[in-house]
Amino acid sequence: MQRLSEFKYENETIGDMASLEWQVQTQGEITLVEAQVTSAYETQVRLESALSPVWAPRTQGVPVEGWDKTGYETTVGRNETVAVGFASPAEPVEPPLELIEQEATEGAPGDSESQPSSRDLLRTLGDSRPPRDITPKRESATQQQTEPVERQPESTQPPALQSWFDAIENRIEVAERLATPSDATEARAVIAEHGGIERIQRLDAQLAADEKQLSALKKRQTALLDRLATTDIPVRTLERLE
Amino acid sequence: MILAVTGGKGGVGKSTVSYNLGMELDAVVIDGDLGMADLPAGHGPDLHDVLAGRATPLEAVDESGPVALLPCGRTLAGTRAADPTALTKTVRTVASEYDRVVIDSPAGLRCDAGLPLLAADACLLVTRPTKPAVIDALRTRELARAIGTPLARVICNRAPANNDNCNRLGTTLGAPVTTVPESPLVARAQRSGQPVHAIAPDSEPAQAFASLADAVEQMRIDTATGATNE
Repeated sequence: MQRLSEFKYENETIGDMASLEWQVQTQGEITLVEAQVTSAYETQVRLESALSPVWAPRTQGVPVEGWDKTGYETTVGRNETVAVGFASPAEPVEPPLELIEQEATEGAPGDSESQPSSRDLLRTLGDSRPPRDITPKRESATQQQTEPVERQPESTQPPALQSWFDAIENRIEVAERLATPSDATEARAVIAEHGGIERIQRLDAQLAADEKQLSALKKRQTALLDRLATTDIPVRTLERLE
Repeated sequence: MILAVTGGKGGVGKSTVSYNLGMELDAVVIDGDLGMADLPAGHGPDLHDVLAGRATPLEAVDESGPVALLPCGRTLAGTRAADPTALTKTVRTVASEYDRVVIDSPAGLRCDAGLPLLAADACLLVTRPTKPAVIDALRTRELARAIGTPLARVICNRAPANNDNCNRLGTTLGAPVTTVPESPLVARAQRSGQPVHAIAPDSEPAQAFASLADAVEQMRIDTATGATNE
C-alpha cells in the first residue's frame, strides 16, 4: 500500500468552523480515502468527493446511511470527530474531499419518526438471502457469455501438482501389478523389471510417504475449501458501483 | 388494505392463516417466504421472478385456484437473485389492482420478515399457546412497533379445547385474540390446497377464520395512515 498524502485543512477566517483531515492511499488500482471531520459545535456537514465513482462503505450490501453517489452527509456533534472512509477506482486527487457545512435543518434524515425505508430494514435486519457460493450455477448460453474470459476451466491442476500426481500414479500402478501377480513368473518379471527386491522395498517406503503426503494434502484442501466457501466477493455490489 | 400475517416462530400456522384469511376476505395472498415458500405454486411466474425484475407483479398473480395467489419460487438461485427491497412496490402494485392483499411472512427477524411489515397497513400475529411461540411473537411485535406497523389482531392457532392461555395472550401481546381450534380438517384442507371453508364450511376452524375476517374488516384499517381504529 502506498501512502500518498496526509493533510489538514482548516478555514482560518472563522476560528471555530468544522475542520477536515484526510489521508489518501492507493492499493493496487484502488484509491482509499480516510477523513476525519471535527467541529467545535454541532453542525451538519457534507463531504463531497472529488473522486468518481465513490465506493461507499456498505452494511449488508447496502450503502451506509448518509452516503450517496458523490459523497457523505452527517451531523457532527459538539467537540466530536466523525471518521469516514471510502474507496474509488479513480486516480487519487488532492484534495479528495470538499467539506461543505450545511444550514441546520429540522428533521434531519434518519431522525424523523416516519417509517424506515426498505433499505434501512435491509441494513439493520440483515440480508436473508442465501450466500452466493451455495447457490447452484445454472449452465445456460447467456450465462456462459457473461462469465469473465480469464476464468480457468475448473479441472486444470497446477503444473507442479500435475507432475507429482503423475509420479504417484505411476508408483501405484507398479504396486498394483506387484500386489496382484497372476503367477510367480510374472511376479519375478516385475521384480526384475524394477531393479530387484531392494528397489521394491524402497518403492513400498515411498508409497507410505506418498500416502502421508496425500492425506496431509487432503486436510489442507478441505480447510481451503471450507475457507473458500465462506469467502464471497461482493461482485454484484461492485458491479452496481461500476 | 394490506395485511402482513407474521409471527416470528416457524410452524405456528402463518401460511394456513394467510390462505384461509385470503379466502374469507377475497384477497390476493402473497407468499412472502422468499427462502422457504409454503403455499402452492403453479407453473407461471412467481415472486422471485417479480423481485428479480423478470415479471410484473400482476402477471404473477394466479387466479386459477380457490384463493388468488402470488406464489413464491422454491430455488436457492431464485432466492439469491430476488431483490427483497422490491417487495414494498410489488405489494402496492397488487393492492392497487386487487384492493385486498394478505402477505404470508417468513419466520425469523431478518429483513425478509421486516419488509412485509413495512409494506403492510397492519399486521396479524400468529402464535400457538406455547412458551417458545409466544416469546417469538413478542419479538415480532417489537419489530412491528419499530417499523411502525400497527398490530391488528393476535391469532392463537391450533388451540387445544378449553385452553386459558389463548385468552391471556391478548394482554401479553396487546391486541384482541381470535382462537382457531386444533382440528384435523385444517391440515387436510391445506394438504389438498383448499381453504377449510371449501371442505367444511360449518366446521369450527372455518367459523374461526370467518370471524377473524369479520374482525379485521371491522377494524377499518386506515390505509393512508396505517392506524387502526376499533
